[in-house]
Amino acid sequence: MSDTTPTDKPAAAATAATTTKTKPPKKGWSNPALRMMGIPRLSLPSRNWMIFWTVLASIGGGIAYDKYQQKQIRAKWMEKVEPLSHVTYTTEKLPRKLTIYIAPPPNDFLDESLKLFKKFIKPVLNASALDFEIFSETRQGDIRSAVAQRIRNLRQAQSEQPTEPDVKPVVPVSSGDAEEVLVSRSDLYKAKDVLGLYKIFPSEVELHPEDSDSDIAGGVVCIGRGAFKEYITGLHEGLLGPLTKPQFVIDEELKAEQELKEKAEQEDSDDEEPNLKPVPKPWIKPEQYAEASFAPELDISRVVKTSEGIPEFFEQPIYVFKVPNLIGFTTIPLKIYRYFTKRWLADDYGAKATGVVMNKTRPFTKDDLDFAADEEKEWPKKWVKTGKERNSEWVQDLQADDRIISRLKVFDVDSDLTTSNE
Amino acid sequence: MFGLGGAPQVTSQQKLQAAEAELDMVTGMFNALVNQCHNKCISKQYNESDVTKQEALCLDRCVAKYFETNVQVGENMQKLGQSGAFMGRK
Repeated sequence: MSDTTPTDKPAAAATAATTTKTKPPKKGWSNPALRMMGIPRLSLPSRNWMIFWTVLASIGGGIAYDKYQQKQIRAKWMEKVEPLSHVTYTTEKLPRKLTIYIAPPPNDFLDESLKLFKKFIKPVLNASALDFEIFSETRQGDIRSAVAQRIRNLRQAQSEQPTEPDVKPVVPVSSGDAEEVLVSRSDLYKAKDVLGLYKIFPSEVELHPEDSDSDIAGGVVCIGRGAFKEYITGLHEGLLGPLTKPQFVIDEELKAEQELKEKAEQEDSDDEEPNLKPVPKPWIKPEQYAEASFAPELDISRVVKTSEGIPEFFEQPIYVFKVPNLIGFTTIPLKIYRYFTKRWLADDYGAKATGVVMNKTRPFTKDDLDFAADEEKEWPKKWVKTGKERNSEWVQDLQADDRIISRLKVFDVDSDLTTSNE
Repeated sequence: MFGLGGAPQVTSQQKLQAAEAELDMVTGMFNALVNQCHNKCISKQYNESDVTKQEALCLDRCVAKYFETNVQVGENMQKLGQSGAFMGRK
């Protein structure tokens, strides 16, 4: 034992020395000054690490750049409309109000469309101090039936009340030959008008909505091709359809109910009852449009307005935003590409939202029925097939009647942009 | 006569108290509302003497939201109180 150790040790030391000597100096770059400061040789990491860091940095940088650009673009469009919101505003005025219909993309959740709206459209609307009201749906047909029901309610109310204009008491002009008509004093003036009590009994504040100033006001914005289709069919159903539920709809609904019951019995499941009523069926079919009479209760010779003088929502101009949404395994590369270039979508949305805010319109033409129609190319094929089987209104061609189309208007977004760029 | 005289006096005092409490509640709510909406909507630089359109719209929404929330919370509290499940009482 004691003999072997002294001979082994130098040998081991010698081998260690040779290995350190034979190991080539690390590649890289150095400088005497740096070496004096104790900074080791600067060198590139190994090949694998290089690949890892490059991939990581390019993906992360791509995401960060896109997000940053989105913010800049949003800020750019917000800035463009901001002067509109810095107008001094008296309390009795009400700003312009948009009606917004949002439908989920096919086979996806409402969240997808809402996200786009919240990120790129809402900031612009808010910056320009526009008011808006959102109607959303989670099932097909909700928007259509809601729009139709709104128009039907209006027609119902119109048919119930006498259409004669309210006659205001007119101060009689006394002329010699006409018999004098006596008007009660309280009709002519109230005590507070005479006594100067307006400070003590302030009269009611008369609200003045901005929309009531002209025939082209407000606006309807549909997010998604489906929402637009439903809105247009809803308009037709409300304006051309009957006021009472027709027999064929009642029959169909009864049938559907029976089928549902049978299904429930067959499956024999004790699930909780469906808390949502089924979506009401359309009360008129596209084939019947031509024969139907155009809302006889309404005075359609001029723009139909509410009691405040605001044009009814179906008289307001329309705009449609396309919701690009891809579904499925094979679309993943395109999805990734779109994720990294979302700033283009943000720019597009911002420009269009600004156009809506600027409120320039043109008449609706037949071609406008294809608004955002290229969205349909991306709809999943399987979904379209089942939709056709179930007679879904989303997958059918949009039928329209000339009487309604001639009344509609569209926001002229493009012309507005060209003028703003000058 | 004594019984008749005593009873209404108590109730009128109770009524007064109730009315006072109600007034307190309403003023409290109003003050909170004004505070909240002022903080949220009115820009603190006071560049202009009048309210701008943005501020006007914000105020409209703020007040509407406040009242709506108030009603909702009140209704829910009432429901809780009626069912007796409030504060862990069952």
